[in-house]
Amino acid sequence: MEPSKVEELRERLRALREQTRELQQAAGDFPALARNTSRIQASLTMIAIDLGMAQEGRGEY
Amino acid sequence: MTTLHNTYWNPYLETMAPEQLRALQLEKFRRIIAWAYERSPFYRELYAGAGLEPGDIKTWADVRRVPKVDKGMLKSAQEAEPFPYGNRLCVPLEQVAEFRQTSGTTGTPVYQADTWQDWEWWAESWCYILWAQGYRPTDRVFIPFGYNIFVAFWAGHYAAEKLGCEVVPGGVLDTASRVLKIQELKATALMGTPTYMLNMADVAKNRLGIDPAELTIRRITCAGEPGASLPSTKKRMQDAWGAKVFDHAGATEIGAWSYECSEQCGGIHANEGLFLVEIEDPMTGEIIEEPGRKGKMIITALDRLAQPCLRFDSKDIIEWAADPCPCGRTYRVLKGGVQGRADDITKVKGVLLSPSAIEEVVRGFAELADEYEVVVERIGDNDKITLKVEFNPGAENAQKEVLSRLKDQLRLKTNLGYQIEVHPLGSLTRWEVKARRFKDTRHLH
Repeated sequence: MEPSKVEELRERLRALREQTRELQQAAGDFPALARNTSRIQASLTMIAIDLGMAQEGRGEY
Repeated sequence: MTTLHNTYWNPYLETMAPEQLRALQLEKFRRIIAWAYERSPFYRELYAGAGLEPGDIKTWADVRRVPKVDKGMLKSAQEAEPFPYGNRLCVPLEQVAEFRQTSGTTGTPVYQADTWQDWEWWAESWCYILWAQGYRPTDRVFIPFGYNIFVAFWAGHYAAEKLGCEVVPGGVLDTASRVLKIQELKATALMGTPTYMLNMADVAKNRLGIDPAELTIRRITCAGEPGASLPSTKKRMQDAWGAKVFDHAGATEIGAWSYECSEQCGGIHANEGLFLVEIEDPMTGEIIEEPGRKGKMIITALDRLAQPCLRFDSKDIIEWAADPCPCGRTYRVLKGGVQGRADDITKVKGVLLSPSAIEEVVRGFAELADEYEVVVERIGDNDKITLKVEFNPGAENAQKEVLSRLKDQLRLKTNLGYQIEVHPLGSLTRWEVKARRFKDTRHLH
């Protein structure tokens, strides 16, 4: 796979992760939003692992 | 855009250049060691005792200085707080989403915690397996597994869902009902232990009068026993079901770390994007890099966070294959899968004997039924091995000739002589999940 393509995918993922972080913070006392966002974050972390983002693959839970 | 025709679940990691893959593994190893050191008193004490801090690990030589752990150490660690996982736990209890445990055949089970992130990782590691074995969203996957405290095919279920397959949970149905449900739903894929796959085929044929090869199963994924990598047992299953049978090796403490791919090149790929697999010479402790030398597997799950498994001495006997797999994956191949366990290899009459070697011979005889049993006894100062077998219907007339060939083959493959007993068909124990066909009673004398 072309390194530039991988880097492009990683950039898109970073943007998504940032958005979910903001969503998580905004969830406040809204369990449905908080827990569903948490699951999305786990999926995004899995994508980070699949894209070899070793230092960014740590779980968000 | 369709991705269904891609050979690889992860075209980036599975075809990564070996030197790049090694660099990624080293980076991930350093990260997971730091994670464990910062959060787990068990790992911190272990590494402090060896005079090691995470920042010390810069090269592969440093990796090899990291102390190994084994099952006994994991059990001891769980006696500490917090209950029930102990001080190997790296996350607060409220972040634990899944409980599993080992079977406890060697005593106390190991309790294993996973966060939801870890569970995503479990399912993902199984996606690599299923995709490589040809599972696609058009498959209807039947899982004849007693969903319970053992991880077994739980992750296979989640992975099949993730791939887009239709999953049929075969839960508490009995074996006959499962066969009938497969027939009714025209299921295309199946997961189970080799023992149970043969058992199901036997029930279909001999109790229900259904030829399993006439059903719609096209592929079977096996785990839990080495049978699917033993050519004679694999052939027996493939013939019985008229399906391709694939191997996979994994463990509760480790994860789903390997898979046979659709090329079936005679081994299993180590999933080197998610795991670090090392082979250690049991005599010298040297790490074996070259093909053709057997050793013990030392394995690290590079991305599992709740209870990390770092340099775990699995006791599995493995060796690197000489040639890469034609599938194009750069993940290295382990020849013949897991070839045995250091724990299982025993000395009989002064000769090292692996139960898998007996299985490979017995299952190579089409005249013999699927079940057999081996009993090792001490008679006076001598060891005696009894092999109990059953004959398939119609093969009894050739009994004398078959037994003679069987004895010859056993002597050739194991360097040992056997007393062979023929038992009526169906009289030996039929196992539901993992079989215990090898009984060593010498310690009782």
